[in-house]
Amino acid sequence: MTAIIEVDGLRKEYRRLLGGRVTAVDGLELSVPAGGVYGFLGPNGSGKTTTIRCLLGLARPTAGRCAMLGADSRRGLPSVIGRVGALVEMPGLNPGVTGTQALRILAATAGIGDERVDAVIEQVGLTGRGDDPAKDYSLGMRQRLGLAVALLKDPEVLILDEPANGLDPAGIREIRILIRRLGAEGRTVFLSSHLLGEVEQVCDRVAIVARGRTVAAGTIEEVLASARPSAVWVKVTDVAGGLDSLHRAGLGAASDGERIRVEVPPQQAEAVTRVLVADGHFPSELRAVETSLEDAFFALTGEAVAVPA
Amino acid sequence: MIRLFGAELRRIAARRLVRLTLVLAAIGIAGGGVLAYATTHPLSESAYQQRVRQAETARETQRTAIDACLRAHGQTGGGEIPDNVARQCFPQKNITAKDPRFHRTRLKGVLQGVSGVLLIVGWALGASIVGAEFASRSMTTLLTWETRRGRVFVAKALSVAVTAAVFATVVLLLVTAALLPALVAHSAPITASEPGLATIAGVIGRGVALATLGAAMGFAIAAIGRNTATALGVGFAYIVILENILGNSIAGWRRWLLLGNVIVFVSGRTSSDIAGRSVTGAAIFLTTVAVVLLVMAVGSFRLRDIA
Repeated sequence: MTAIIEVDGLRKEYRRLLGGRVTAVDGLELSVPAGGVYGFLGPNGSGKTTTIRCLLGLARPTAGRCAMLGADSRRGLPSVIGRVGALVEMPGLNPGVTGTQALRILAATAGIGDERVDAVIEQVGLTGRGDDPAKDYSLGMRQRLGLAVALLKDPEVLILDEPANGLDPAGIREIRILIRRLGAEGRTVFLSSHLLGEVEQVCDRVAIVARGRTVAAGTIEEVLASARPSAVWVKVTDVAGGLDSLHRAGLGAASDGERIRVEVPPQQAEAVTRVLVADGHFPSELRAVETSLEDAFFALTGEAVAVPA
Repeated sequence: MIRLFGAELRRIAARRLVRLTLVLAAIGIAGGGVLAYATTHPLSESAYQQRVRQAETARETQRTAIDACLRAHGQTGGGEIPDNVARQCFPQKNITAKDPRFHRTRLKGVLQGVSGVLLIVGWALGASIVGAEFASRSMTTLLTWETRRGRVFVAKALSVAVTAAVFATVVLLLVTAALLPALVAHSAPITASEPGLATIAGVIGRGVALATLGAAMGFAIAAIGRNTATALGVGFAYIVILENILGNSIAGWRRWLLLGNVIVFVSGRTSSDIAGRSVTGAAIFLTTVAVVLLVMAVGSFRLRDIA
């Protein structure tokens, strides 16, 4: 499979003003195949934006290599940047200009005509607001304008850093549909996000990063499998008795009151059934413990969930 | 590169600060023209010469009255005159022949004064144009379109220089145009001491060059500091404070300070205050400072990460 984006052992350190260094990315590996939507998932501060900035040549890697469309980000980027559209965090636009003006100025640098600008404004849902000063735009409208900037070149590769930031639910849905369509058109969409739902619904493949490293990568199913716990749920009428039987048989088990979770791989479920039946506990249900991308994310990144008191 | 340069010019033209500066300049120039016309009057040369003769007669009468007053107070020996006697005998005003006409010398003076202002405006404009791009992060957006930072920097620096040069040319020509009614309707005969057209053109040319150099310096410092305030703060601290102290403390250093060179360059002649600096020398010095700052800025722009 041809890799459109390749990141090999990327490391990025920043110097602190008062001495010392902060490591933002620490040996990150990534290989994004051509076509479809690739999710780049990680908690805040995990190094997603820094990786994107290195890919786009905005930041110099301390070590390692980034490449897009086969071109090294340090030297070869100018030859491929015309085929790449990017939205890095909140889009930066000139103060005092209208949305349309901002797009036309950028389009002029690449010889793109005004018709394309109008088409993109319509595509991102800014029709009728293009002539408003960009500084008066809401967060969501700015984000749409940023998407328009990324789409203006009609790029083969789209790098979108948190494109749903600031959008209302309807806006998020629209953008999700747009991203899915762009991926289906054969473009490669590299979508960085910390929103699990967004990634799960839109992406074909995903990489999860934590503390500057890739902790899992592959199709959604592969990532879920890598994080899926090796356990089965079993239901019996006498939960306490069943739990006692399993403990006596030396199996790790715990109850949530209604079911028993037995720490054995689903392939060894037969052993669980045998132990329970031997003691007269007949399972009414036995299935592998499922995991969601959210569970996988927390399991792989080691992120704790803060529960309000 | 041409596309990038064109886009940069469009970006600058779209800025409200540029339009506001143009409007303010237009208002100031129009007001200055009206003021120049209103405060000058036509006068024939013979009428003026008559005023000169009248003034000379009045001064003669005044001198006689002073002598009489001093004698009355016993001051005949030419020694030191006590303050109370001086207050009584010497008049408060000098008698001169008032010339209400608009001279070319005045036009030259106004253009030189405006050139000084254009240096400051150019500096602020150059600093603001690049500073705002870092503040708004539009620089980041642009660099996802054109990744060759050297090109981006050159296009931006060139567009700032061209904008400052065009702005200064327009302002200086408009100032000249605004003063033309006074110069034509209230003109004085052109004497050998009056500046010719070539001199006026030279003043305009140097004013344009100065505004362009100022814009380049402001642009370069703001590009290094990555905000407008840095360039304005550095400019204020260096020129108003440091150069003032150095220039007033060590006269020999004045020719190595920006202000001294600006004075020589704008005036178009050497100055005894700034010894050893010719107009050409001042032009070379100012250009060198601007070029060194730009080289430092492009180095910093190419090497540092962009937020």
